[in-house]
Amino acid sequence: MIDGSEGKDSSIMSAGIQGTSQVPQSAIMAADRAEQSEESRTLLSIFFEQFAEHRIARASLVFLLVIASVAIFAPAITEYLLGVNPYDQNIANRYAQPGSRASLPASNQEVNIEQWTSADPERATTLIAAARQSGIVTSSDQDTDVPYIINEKRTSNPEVYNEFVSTGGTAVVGFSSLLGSFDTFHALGTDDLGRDVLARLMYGARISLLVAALVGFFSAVIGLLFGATAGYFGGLLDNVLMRITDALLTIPTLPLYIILAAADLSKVPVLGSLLSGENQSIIKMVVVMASLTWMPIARIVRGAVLSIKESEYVMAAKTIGMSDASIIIGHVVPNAFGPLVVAVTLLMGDAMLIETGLSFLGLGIQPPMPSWGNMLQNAMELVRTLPLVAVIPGLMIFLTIIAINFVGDGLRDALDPKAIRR
Amino acid sequence: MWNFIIRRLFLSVVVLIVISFLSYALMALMPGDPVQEMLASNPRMRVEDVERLRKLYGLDLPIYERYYNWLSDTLRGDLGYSRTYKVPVTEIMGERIANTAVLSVSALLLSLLLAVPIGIISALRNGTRFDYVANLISFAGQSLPPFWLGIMLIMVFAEWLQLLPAGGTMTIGTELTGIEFILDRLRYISLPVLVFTISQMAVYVRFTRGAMIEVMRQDYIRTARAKGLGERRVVTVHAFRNALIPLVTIVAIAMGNVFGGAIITEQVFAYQGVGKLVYEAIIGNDFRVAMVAFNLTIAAVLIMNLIADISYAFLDPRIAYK
Repeated sequence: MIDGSEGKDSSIMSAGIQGTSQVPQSAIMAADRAEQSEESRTLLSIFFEQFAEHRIARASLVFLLVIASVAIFAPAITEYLLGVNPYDQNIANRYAQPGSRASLPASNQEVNIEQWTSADPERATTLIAAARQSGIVTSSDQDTDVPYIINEKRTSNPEVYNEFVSTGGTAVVGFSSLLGSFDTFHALGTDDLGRDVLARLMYGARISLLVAALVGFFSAVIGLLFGATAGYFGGLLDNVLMRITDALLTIPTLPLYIILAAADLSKVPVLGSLLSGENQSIIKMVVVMASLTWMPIARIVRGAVLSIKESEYVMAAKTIGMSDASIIIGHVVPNAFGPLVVAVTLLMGDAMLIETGLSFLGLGIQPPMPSWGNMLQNAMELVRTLPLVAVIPGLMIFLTIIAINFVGDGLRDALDPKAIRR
Repeated sequence: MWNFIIRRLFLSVVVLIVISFLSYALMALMPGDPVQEMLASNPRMRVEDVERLRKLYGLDLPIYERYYNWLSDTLRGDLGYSRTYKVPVTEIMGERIANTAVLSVSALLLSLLLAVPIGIISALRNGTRFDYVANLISFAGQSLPPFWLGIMLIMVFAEWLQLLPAGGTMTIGTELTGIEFILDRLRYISLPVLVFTISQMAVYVRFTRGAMIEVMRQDYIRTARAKGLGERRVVTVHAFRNALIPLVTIVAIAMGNVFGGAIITEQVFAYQGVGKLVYEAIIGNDFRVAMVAFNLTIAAVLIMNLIADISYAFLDPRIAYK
């Protein structure tokens, strides 16, 4: 399941691996060969080449970049290319089939027009003047009726309407785009509230990727702080910090996530001020998950620190008077960078699995904000009415996580100094 | 050795106490305590009544005192009443534990039966097409969201093929006995077991493969081959038995997850187990049930982790514990 069995594996494996850390013969030979070759190459270029050789990892990276760019540009894509909005509801058009068109009920159209005209009376006056000039309305029509008549002409007499739009100024164009939004095309159909599924899928990518990335970042920071402090200073501090880490690793995380997600954390003193506004559920997810996923990273960093701390260059750094903090940041952390990057990558995959799972249970990202997990909340109904919509969000989660895992695998191969082949 | 066991036991008890206190405090943070609910159903209650009731139930005490009271009640065997079901907590727990145990244990056995052979073959044929495919499948299994896998299986087997029920634990309203009872339960449990099996198999495949590859590199395998043993005997007697050591600990840890691991699966299939109980009690503010079910889940994990560590020490004499 999605709780931390990963972390437990590694704790046992590290117990088994201890003591076999001597440099293998092949690595020394590889290093010799590297010296003999004529051209000298940077480590970075070797890394890129080795990563590119892992074909699945390379394809996964491309896939992730595509998903990420769709997520980043989701507002622009949905507004200008699709002409839909992930939050607009249309109760008259629930569970529409993929590829269907829909229009807003007449009463809702009138409410929207009313809002448009009353929001900016000057704009409305300009529109009415333009309409009278173009002749789309007759002189006997009341001023207040003009916008509604234009909307009626849109369907009853499209030719006249199109001509009116093409000759009009900014007010006319603005009004016509409002009218245009009444008719929508739903490439993937609509959900239980008549919201466009494709738009929600794109916005969901934003949320789900953002949560995964933030969890990865913050748990890297926490793990780095814990691991580096424990390893560098050693002694009692190391003992206390590592016992805390061990204790946290033994806790089954899923039930704890459920309690934390259900509790009203805004009553907790310091957290309370953070948890406000519309992004509350995102911040809560990130805080909760980052505080329970940093342990493997702390162990990796501590291990790296322990092996580096006694080295000559750290001693040299000490003799020239570098502070502990800058030695850790400048010399120790870069040496732990490879395993750290791999661990953080894999952790982001786990974070996405947890976030979507909790959102599915109704405890993660709260609607109306879409997440790939909470789009499946009413999946049992979708299975019957719109099977495709029950399939796609989950498929996106699956493909994204597997891609993250493959990239992590590729990074592990490419960053492993023992595996440098030339 | 004993020193190690006692120290680990001590650590586990400390962790359990800390977590139960934390969960107690967190649940107190959930909206709606019993008196507030009474107030909602009876608007004629006066402020004095509210205060009197809060005192009566001890809700006015500081959180650590309330926790202490709860802990001493629980240790005396008084688990309290369920607010949702209006029966003692002990009455609900029994059946739920049995249901979850059946689900988790059968999924664990099934996944080991499938994963161990795949892992071994994959390790022996390291780098071949079989290994590649097994690796790919194990990556996929690790990345599959279990709730979505459940939804997909329901769609195929319950909606389209109409072979199996979409959810539940057994057919309601029937008095089945003997073989019919077992068959009925089997129909309901097969999809949850499948989901739970697939989602944990990947870890076992990877682990078996890793352990086998590590063992096959050892000198004693070379020795066994050098003295002329058949490959079959080398693999089964000399290699697999040693690869089992880390596997035993992994299985022990998985056994600990027996209650907590299936929360999402049970929820998707509306399977009446402990996981669903934990979830529903937390959501429904059924305080006593939530505390017992949650801490039972945690305790199972801690105990099995302890057993895993100890068994590791017994099985592998090279490991010396300080």
